[in-house]
Amino acid sequence: MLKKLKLLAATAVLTVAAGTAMAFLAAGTAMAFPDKPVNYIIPFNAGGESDVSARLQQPYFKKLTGQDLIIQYQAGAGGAQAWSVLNDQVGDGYTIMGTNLPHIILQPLLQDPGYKTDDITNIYMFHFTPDALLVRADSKFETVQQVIDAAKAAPGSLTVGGVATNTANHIANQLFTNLTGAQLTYIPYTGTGATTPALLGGEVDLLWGYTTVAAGQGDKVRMLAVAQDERHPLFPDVPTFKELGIDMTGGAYRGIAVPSSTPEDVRKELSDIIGKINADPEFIKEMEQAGFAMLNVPYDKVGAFMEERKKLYEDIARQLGSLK
Amino acid sequence: MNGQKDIAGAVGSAFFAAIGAAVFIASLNMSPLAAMFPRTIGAAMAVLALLHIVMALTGRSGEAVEKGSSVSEQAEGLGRRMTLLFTMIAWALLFPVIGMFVTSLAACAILMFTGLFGRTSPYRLALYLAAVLAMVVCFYFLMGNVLNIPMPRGLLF
Amino acid sequence: MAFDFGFVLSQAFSPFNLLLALVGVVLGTVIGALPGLSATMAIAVLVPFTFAMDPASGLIMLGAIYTGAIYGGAYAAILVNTPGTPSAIATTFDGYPMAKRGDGDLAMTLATLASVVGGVVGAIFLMTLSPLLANIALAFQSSEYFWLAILGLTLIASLSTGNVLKGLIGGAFGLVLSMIGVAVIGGDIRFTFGSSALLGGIDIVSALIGLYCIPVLIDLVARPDRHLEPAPLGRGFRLFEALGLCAQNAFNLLRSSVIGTLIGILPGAGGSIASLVSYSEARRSSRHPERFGKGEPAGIMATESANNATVGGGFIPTLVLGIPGTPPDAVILGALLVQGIRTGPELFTQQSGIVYIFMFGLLIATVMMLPLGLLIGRYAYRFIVNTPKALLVPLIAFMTVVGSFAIHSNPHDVVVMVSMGVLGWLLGLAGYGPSPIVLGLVLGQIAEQGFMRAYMIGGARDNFWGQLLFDRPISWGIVALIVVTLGLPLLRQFRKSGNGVKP
Repeated sequence: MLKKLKLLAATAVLTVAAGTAMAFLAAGTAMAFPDKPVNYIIPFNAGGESDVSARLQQPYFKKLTGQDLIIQYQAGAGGAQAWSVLNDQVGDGYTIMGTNLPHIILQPLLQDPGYKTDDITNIYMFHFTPDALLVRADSKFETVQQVIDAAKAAPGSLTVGGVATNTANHIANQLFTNLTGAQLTYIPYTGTGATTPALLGGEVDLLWGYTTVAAGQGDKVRMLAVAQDERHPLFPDVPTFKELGIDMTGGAYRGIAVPSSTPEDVRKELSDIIGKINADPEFIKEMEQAGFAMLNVPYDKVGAFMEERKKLYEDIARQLGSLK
Repeated sequence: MNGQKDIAGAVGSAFFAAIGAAVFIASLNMSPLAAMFPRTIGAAMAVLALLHIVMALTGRSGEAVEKGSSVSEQAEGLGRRMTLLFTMIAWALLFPVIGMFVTSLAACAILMFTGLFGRTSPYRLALYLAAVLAMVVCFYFLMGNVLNIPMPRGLLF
Repeated sequence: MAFDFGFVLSQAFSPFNLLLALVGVVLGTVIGALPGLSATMAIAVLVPFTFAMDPASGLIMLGAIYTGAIYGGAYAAILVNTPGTPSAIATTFDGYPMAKRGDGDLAMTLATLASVVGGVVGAIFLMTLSPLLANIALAFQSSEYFWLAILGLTLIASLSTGNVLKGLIGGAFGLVLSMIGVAVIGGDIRFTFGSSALLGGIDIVSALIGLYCIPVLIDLVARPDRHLEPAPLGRGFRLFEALGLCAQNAFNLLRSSVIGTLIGILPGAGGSIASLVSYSEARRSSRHPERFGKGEPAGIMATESANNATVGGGFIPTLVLGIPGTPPDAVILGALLVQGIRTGPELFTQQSGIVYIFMFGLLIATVMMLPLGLLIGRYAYRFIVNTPKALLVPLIAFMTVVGSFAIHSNPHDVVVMVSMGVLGWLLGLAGYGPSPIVLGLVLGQIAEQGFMRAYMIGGARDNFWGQLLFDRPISWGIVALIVVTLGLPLLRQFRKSGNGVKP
């Protein structure tokens, strides 16, 4: 009996010792804010665009503040599971969460995901990934016009992959159909990670993805057009939809939010930190290398930005709603 | 085939038949793409469950290899079983409100007494209680500080 | 190979890297053994620490944690009937019965040996055939995922021999549970009863903890006798007995490791399917299929070698195609990106040795699991056997609550866990086992989405059956396996009743 307790006590001591050691390791240099590690919750699984951009921010956050940015994943319901509990977290600035547009606008419009768009306190929008239409490198489609012609010749016979239903990809597909009259069959997948093998393996003919997919897969895929105002610096040869006479700009916008109980000064401080990271030329280079497009919407401008986006997506949501 | 009527099994199947039917009916209001699977599975489940009710009541239901303990076995120590169940339910419902640490300490103490059999000396009891306290403190610390999982603090902590 | 092999070896075997591998394996094993804590979580927390290290060292530590965590899942599966990770589901089938009858020490040793064999086989495939094998990830399409899920579901039939009907009903119920939440295809909200907490569906790990562990706890408090039969004193690791069993099961181990590697390559399949399929295969080809599920050592060997082989397998598409096979792979891929390493087939032909150092590190960590696992396993077993019930009950109960909370830091998962536990206990009273339900829950999404996508693509190309089966040779192979798995026992039964022997 005593032996067991000794063992138990030994385990306890070890655990505590290990824990304290790690806590000390984590402490590092102290500043006003933050003076301990900050939890950065990603409402998706590891490997997506939200995760990759957070990973790229991580070392710069450490360099700037001396504190670790600890990334945690709370995937579920296309992000809704995490966003619906955002305001239950402690609002001291040590819990921040990634947010995505159009998700946080569309989800509450189309169904009840357990939160409202205005429940989410965005403090910074830091990048976006433009929608892109992609094919395999050996595909017969060289231009968007060829796709439109083929789709018009046999409506619905071309398949296009994308992430889930009522998402940025799904909207892009709907917009494309509205603007060009080309009917594609939209095939939903669980995440960006699942769409890439579907395109490369030939299960779908086309893919609604982002510039990041093309950046990651290199010469195995061909991007036909991007939904950006200007050409992406990484892909100077790929036309924008606008150049082709299709008025499509959009994609997924990503930012950072805090629980609503977070005090104003902390929100401001966090916004400044993210802004500084966003201004680092090294960071910009890494982000653009990975296919992201930079965006700078700090805390004091994020309200106006959201209002403008909300109007835009409401129109599209109405169209999607009438689809059913 | 033991020829015995499997009343408990029939009750279980009635439950599943009802769920199968409910799933089937609910699928009628879904979009065609989302409805296909629930409709098929719901119908199959209801039919299988009805079939099993007939088998169970005519004594043609066999014994599965993997099964829970039977109703008669469960009568033993029913009070303790119920204490555990209700402690767990209360624990799950209360910890976000009251706080993880306090709820867990209370629940662990109750469960410790539930798991005590025979007479125990006061000395040993004190040891046990100390061990429970140490365990809760350790894991709370491990989760909250080492793995950085935000533990709910609630009203107390 | 173009690079300096000696340099790679000296790096991989440097004392510091060896130490990191050691720490990683131990940490991973502990994390994996605690239900609810996952390799993804542990790796994500530790990534910032690796920034301060040399890239290769950081990667070795992350890989070691990953492989340790998959192995650690066996502990909870064997000792308290609770799979710590979904890939250990099938380990409970035989592991817990063995522990209950006093063979827990043997079960732990077997799990360790099998995990090492599986991990080594997976790592060797990773180091030698990666660029070639990565194509499997692309050859598998929606229809193949559908058939693979069906193959996994056939296990229900063998798990519920005696009352297949109950097994099928339980499986269907599991499938219904898997539909809860927002449908990926169609976008409908299904069976959430208006609760936004259920939008994300029922978390598999919290359901696993509830269905398997709560009934064990309930039985634990009811009777004063011990949780597990203690092993007679002085029996040690039973290493030679275990090695003998491994020798007898050499083919089983090899087959399971290869199955594990191949399924590990498929993004979106992972350890749970790999271990279920290899368990099913081991049972089908065994001379004593009736012993499976009652404490058959070959069952543990099949599942544990398969799930550790998925570690190496999963890195194949991650490194070659930049498509992570599992969430931990995705985190490690992210760490690679931050270090400025681009994935692709070139990684294996030209780049400096960093990827090879990492792969050697993974191999070393896997081999280290042998002594460490034997040691930790022995203490874990003794600890669980010797801890008085009054302490064991709160300990396990606390693990279930804290573990299911940790999955998403969300209290709803704890409620789901307890509800599933109560449901599992009640269904147990009616003779419905938890495993068919779990299989339905784990495989439901894969089956539904695979089928629906094949249906939609087939519809667009006006060739549904071709898309689902006829034009897809890999699907033929899987369907043939399904037919054999289901057909053989039926054939045996017919022969038996043909002889006039009524069972």
